[in-house]
Amino acid sequence: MTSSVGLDWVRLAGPKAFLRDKAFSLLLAIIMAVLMTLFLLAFKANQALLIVILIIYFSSVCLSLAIEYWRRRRFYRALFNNLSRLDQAYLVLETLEQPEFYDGKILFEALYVINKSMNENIKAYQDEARAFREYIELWIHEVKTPLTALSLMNRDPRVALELRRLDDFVDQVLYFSRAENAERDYLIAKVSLGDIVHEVALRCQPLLLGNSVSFAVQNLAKTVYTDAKWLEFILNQIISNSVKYGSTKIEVIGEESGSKVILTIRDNGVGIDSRDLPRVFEKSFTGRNGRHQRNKAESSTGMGLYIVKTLCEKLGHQIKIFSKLGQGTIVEITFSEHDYYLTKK
Amino acid sequence: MAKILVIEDDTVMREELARLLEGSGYQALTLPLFENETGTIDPQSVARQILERQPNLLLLDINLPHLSGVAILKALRAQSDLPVIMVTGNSADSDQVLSMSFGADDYVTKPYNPNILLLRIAAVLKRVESSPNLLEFRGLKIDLGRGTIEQLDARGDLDFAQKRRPKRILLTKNEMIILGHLLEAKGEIVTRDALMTDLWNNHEYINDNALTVNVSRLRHKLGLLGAGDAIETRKGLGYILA
Repeated sequence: MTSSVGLDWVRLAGPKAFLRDKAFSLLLAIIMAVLMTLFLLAFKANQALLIVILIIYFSSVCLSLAIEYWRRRRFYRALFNNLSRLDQAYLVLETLEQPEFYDGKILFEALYVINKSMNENIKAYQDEARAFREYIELWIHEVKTPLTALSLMNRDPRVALELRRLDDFVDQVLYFSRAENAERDYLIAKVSLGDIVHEVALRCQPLLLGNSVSFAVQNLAKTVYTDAKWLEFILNQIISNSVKYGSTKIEVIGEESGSKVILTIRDNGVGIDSRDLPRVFEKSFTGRNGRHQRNKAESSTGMGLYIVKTLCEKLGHQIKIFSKLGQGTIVEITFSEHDYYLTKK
Repeated sequence: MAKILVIEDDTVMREELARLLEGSGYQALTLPLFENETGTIDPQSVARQILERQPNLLLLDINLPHLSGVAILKALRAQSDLPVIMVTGNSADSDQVLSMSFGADDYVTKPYNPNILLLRIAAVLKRVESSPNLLEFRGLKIDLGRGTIEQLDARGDLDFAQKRRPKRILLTKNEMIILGHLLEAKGEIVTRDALMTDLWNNHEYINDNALTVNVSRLRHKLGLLGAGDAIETRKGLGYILA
């Protein structure tokens, strides 16, 4: 819907195009002139008179065409210029004055009606999407209660692990719906990196201990501007991935460089194929690792890192991923102390 | 025995919470919430009912039908300093910020790990009671604040064997956490899982092997002070301080 619609206004509405459109009228005018000349000659009219009459006739034809063209030219040039400058071409009607010529008025009215009906259509979809999203949020809230009740009743560590996986999947849906939504429903605040990693560690504890993964943190006494819950989800997703792809050691390291804080999560898992690496943040991309899961039940949805990337973008954090097949993966999240956050505080 | 009042609208959750708390040596109370004629619940009257039951701590769900837990908290804080732990679902992120600013002592997010909930409850209660960091056990003085164990009676006994024992031993943070937990539950079995959660909750992300190593180091240090048999292993269950 951008300027690249490639409308060439000169080709569509330039003088040549206009004349081509008026070819029939011009032909008619010439025929009339010929007939008139013959008629006048038959009556033996004065030659000078004939010339004067023809000049007057043709100039009136040309003048009326010129005026007609001029009025159109103003409207169409504005239309096409604005179309090519606007991000959202459908807003073009708002930028134009109603034309005064006959077919322009018709076009304008028609566009208005079309626009209105499209807006109503979009509104219906927006309402539907919002209602669905609200239902998902409500549903997730409801489903957390039986999940909590189950984890209270449970004494079996294997069941605890499965409950946690279930909760992770539920959270993935919640954050997917948030990542896809344009509304700004996060809360940027100054939070301690150590506290957030700690929450994630506690949440991942059964997973890490159950898979005999050693977990170490370093240098996390730093504060960053972020949404705590979103960052917890992001880190949880990255650590779950590490465990899923065979890591036995995960390190979380904080580092300060200038006004930026960099959080690094390093593992020694199977790593990512260099061909897959540029695409891991794409929606529904599973790649080699996702396809070759030993355990079918653990197969990849291809959504985790996509959601992570989208959330990071919304929060204004930079996320990078480095990996070597067979050696491990490093994920780097950069938090910048951006003016944006400071003014919004 | 500390009394803990649970306000939670889901019946299964309420019962399971009560069972968990009773099983962990607390007295659990519940408070049914009734709507008035207009279909609403008055936070003031709920706050009054809470205080009438005189609990030591309140476990309050933030999302209740007809009423927000935050409103109850606000009404409660107007009259009392009762320790409150808020239970939040994940759906509203600002809940936590909001409840902390209205004076909740801590919060847990659903679905929570029961061990963590118990630790948070114990931590909040401890903060309020400000229980002394000095504990005595088998003639040993244990200072949890400084991380030391000392022999209590240092009268210069002539007993040769006793003289050779060091008087004071420093414990590492991990050993301190383990010993503290065992002391608090003296005479009861403490599961490895509970110890592990306590360590993780104190930012010590150790694994299974490291726990075993830490327990045996702690045993060794207690042994130097003549209490080497204090920590017993109960196979498949955990440890007990006898």
